[in-house]
Amino acid sequence: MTLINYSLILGFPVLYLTLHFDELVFRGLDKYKNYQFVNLETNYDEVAKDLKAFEHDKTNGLPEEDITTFCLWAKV
Amino acid sequence: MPSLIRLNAKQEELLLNLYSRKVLVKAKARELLPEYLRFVKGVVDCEDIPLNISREHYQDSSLIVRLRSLLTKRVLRLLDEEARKDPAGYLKWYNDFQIFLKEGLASDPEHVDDIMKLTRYEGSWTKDLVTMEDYIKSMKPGQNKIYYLTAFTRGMAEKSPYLECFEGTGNIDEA
Repeated sequence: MTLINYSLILGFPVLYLTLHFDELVFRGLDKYKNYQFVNLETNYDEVAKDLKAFEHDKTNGLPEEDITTFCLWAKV
Repeated sequence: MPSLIRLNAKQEELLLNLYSRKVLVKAKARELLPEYLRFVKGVVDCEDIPLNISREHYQDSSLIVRLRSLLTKRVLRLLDEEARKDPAGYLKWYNDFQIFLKEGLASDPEHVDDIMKLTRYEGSWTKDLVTMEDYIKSMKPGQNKIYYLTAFTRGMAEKSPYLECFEGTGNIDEA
């Protein structure tokens, strides 16, 4: 069984800080080259909002009525 | 480059002696490098410093300020060159001395860019340690933030529930 990480699927790189001192440093710096440091743990709402902007376009999917019809057919 | 970690990193003393034309001007010249580079040992021979410099003049001298800035840049550049020349050797050194560099990130805003080139982090997209530049290169188009997660180990970070926010359901099983 292999675990697939969704962050990789979506292409979002995440840094794993294994020294807590790193977090203090990032908080102190706030930005690096105009890129803001964001902690996934403490900025959940902000991250969720950012990710929503990158969500796949759902309008290309099958319309709900088609899926419902298909499911009803499959049940029979 | 020193190869062993100093256990008493906080008390470590900068052993940098300042010479002028091979004559000792000041031993343990703490002013020559910032505190976080206290693992550096050696001598600096500067012909521009007068031999009879007074202590007062020494402390206020713009020459010392310039020398300090120059030496800091040189040391950081040397480390960067070592990292490029011998990445495996550098990583071994880095494991012992990273705390000094990170102290530099927190205390020396003037050289943040130079120090950041020397630091390494775990990244979600690769098993190797990466630089901040590697992160920026792997960012998604339009992404303007650097996302990070704190954990004791890489394994714990990968299993963190906070990564679930990337899709809402988190990790999936590929049976």
